[in-house]
Amino acid sequence: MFNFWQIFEGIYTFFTGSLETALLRILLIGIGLLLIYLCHKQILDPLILLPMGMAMIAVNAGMLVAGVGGINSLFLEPLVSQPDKLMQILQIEFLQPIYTFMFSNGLIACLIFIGIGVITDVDYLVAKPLPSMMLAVAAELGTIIVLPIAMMWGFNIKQAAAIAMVGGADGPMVLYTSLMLAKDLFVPISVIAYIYLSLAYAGYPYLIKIMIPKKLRGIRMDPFAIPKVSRIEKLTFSVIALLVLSLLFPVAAPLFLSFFLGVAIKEMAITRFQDFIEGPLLYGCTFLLGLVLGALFSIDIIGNVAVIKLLVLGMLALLFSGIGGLLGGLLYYKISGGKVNPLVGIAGVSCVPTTAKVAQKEAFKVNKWVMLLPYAMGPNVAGVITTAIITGIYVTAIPLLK
Amino acid sequence: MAVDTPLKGALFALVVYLLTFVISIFVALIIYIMYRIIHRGKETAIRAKQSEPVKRTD
Repeated sequence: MFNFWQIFEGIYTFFTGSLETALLRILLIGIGLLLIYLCHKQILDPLILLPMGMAMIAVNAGMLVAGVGGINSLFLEPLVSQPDKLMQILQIEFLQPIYTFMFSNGLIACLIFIGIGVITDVDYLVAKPLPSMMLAVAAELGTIIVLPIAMMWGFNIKQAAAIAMVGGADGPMVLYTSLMLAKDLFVPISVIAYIYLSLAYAGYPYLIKIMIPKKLRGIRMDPFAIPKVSRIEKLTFSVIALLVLSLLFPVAAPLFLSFFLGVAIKEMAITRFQDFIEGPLLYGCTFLLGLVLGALFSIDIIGNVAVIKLLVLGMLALLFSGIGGLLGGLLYYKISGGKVNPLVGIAGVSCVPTTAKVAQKEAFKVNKWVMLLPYAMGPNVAGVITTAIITGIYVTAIPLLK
Repeated sequence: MAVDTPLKGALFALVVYLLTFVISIFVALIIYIMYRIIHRGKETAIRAKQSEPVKRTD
């Protein structure tokens, strides 16, 4: 019999499924609205989270009746594997081509990494590689500690490693690891990772205030004391680092190529490439990333996994990494005889350049004459390398374990 | 070896951390050597240029 509400399927589908499904849809729409509000208040980074919030609202409100009692949307289906069904969906669901040809093969992660390479300053890393790398290793604490915790919560080692990588604070690496090790958790892990990476800008200042005394936060570091690094030195660094890291970890070679290609383009001052990569390419990919992640956050995709556990584990991973980075910063402060501002440690959490900016911002609040950013970029970039190293080890070693 | 318990997972994670530490030192060493070689080459070139006799032009 004809039901009037069937004309408005978005509303009708609220009553066709279970009560939990309907409530979860409302919750997801509410989260989408909250993300937009927090972006408007500049608490969260709007570059990813604004398109993500908008897409979350649209995908969870715009549900259709599909099959017997099932509901679906016209955005994308990430879990489809049969070629004929995929071909059909590619012609119907509008974000499916972007997901299939850019997401699931990691292309979007590589393109974003080229962009990050182009905007990254590697001076301090090249001039002082050892302290930069050691701070970055300290800030990988979350990627290590969360693995056994996740196993304790019932995840297998592949899934545990994929969720622990959130602690590396590198979106593309998280996408890559979950694609390689835990494809079933790819969607919730990647969504959670990007939400938390955006929250890092708002959350880490509180951790800094708890762990670092105000007096130490205001320590001045002379930006002109960094040894001068020429373009040729930085170019040579990018080529040698690409060669060595690709030899060591072939699984992460596409990401290494992308990042160091970006660095090389910057140091060779190829302005036409630079303008294209740091403008249309980087922002275009960031926009599509947010849009697709929002569309992935629909009830039919994430409604069947232990999302709450992943939310807690993701938060723990970033928390431990932040603690590790700040402890590393405090140790560096002691070793240097009080000359180094311990806030550089938080930049070891490699969310380029967000955590370096957090270090600068928190130091500036205490002392208006502190210029920490050139120093913080060293561990920040080193963090990309250490996260890539751990990604390489996890992706290579874990499948070999029986 | 099957890593199927949290304890084995913790041991595996610890080994990964130590390995990351060692590889990071190795990478830092390579960057340092590369930087020193190029930097020294440049300094030598500058010194050589400074020690060249000045040609009289008058």
